[in-house]
Amino acid sequence: MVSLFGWRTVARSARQARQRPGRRGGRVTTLGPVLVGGLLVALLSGCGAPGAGSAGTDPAAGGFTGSGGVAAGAGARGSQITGERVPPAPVPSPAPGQPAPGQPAPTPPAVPDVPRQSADLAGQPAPASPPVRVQVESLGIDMSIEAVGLDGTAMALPANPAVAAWYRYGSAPHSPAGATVIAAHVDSLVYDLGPFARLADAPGGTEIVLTTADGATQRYAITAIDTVEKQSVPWAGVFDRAGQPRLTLVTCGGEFDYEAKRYLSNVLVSAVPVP
Amino acid sequence: MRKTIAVGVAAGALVALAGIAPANAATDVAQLSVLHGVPDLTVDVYVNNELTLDDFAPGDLAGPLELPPGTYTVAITASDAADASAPAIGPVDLPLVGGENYTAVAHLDAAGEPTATLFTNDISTVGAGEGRLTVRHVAAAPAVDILAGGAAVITNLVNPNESMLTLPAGTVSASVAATGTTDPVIGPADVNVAEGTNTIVYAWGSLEDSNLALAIQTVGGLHSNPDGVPAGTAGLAATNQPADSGVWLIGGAALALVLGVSAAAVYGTRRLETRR
Repeated sequence: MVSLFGWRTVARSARQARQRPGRRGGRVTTLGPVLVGGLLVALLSGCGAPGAGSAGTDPAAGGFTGSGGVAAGAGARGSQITGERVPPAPVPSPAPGQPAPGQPAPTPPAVPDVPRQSADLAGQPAPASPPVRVQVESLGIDMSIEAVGLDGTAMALPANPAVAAWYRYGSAPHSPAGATVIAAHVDSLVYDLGPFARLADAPGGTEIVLTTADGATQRYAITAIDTVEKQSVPWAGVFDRAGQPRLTLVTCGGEFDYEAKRYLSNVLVSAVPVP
Repeated sequence: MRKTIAVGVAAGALVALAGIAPANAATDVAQLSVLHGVPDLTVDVYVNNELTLDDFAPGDLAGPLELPPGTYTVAITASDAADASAPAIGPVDLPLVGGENYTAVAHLDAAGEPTATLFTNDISTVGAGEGRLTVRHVAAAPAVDILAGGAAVITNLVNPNESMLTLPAGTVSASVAATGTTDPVIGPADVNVAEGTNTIVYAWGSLEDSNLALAIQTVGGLHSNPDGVPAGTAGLAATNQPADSGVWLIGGAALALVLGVSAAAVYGTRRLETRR
């Protein structure tokens, strides 16, 4: 399809969707007359389900033992149902290793309480306020923070080691989950040694304070300082957006390759929120 | 102070940084959301004949539910129905595969009749800095184009199809127009295409009834990560600062001096010889 602004466009027709029913956009096969079939599916797949207790509201659902009427009524549909439930009929082929959807095995349990929200465009939650200042009083660190993205495939950093960078695609201090990642150059030939050089020797429990753009602050306490060779840094863990809210400060350290003008390790400071 | 370096690194780093379950760890269950896109009709939703969503209002999104893989039968009734025996939509069978993410949408077809469509949401990873935009036409309206900044980026999208774009993360000013035209029937509206997220935009409602609208669903956790933080270029904080670097400089200078003196001496000697 069209490719404007370098955007990749993928359009799919209903026909394609049907050819690859297990993939995106598969159209529900709306089978008007399959009410009885649907009930039978519920009966079969509902064997032993806690949901079977709902018999009171639905005569068919409870008709496990003596529901001859349902069974007889469904008989005419039996082949159709079977056809639906065995590929390559409308039911998609299961992925390798997956049980066939129609097999009686996995019994759908009772459906839990379902969270609901408005899907209205105007009702979308605002993103968390970005951090704008990092302070470590005991180390004399007080730096402004720029929101950054990528430089190639690496995290982008301001050239000045006295200015910190927040990875803006990741979590922010008041996000419900994940690591807020703030990094700064440890040094520079132009600007000399930066404040983050003092992190490597910080004692455990050292307090870090972040201030967000909305004026709120969040305190953290250092739990670990690790100097990790760059090829061994678990970046998916550093930039993790799930799990408990936490702070990770990143700079460079360890040995220096004087020919390549690069450090061989990153210094990773892990900190957890404190009141 | 706790400081791990070099060889001892792995343990500390793994504990502090890598002991983290992937966001989509539960690959054995199917995720199902339900969107109500039929205007002016509050409904009840029955799953396997059990009332699951009571008084579900148009424009609302429910879920995601984590469900064991299997086929689920969904019936949508008027909100005052006593049971699922007389559905307004369905019943439909939803075959759900473990590890996939679905949205079942109750909506109008192009002709304005209530129907339901099961979409599979693309949860494949996008590159760092990118987001995915999915647009779904579930409105009683003819084919449409999706315009961003006034230009069509998706063309001839018909009910109940979808189209996807992978974009640099950011806000897109999007509008919907009849295909081949640029006069919006919806929007323009700012849509945040969040990084590492599938932002799904539904065009729903009815053109004839002048209640076309956009609904938004987001499915996160699709991000890639930076593969490095190059944070130093001078070696001023290095643990291997050559203590003898000063010596090198002094020694180098001395060597140069010696060489210079020698050269001068040779040169001078030659001149003397020439003079003779």
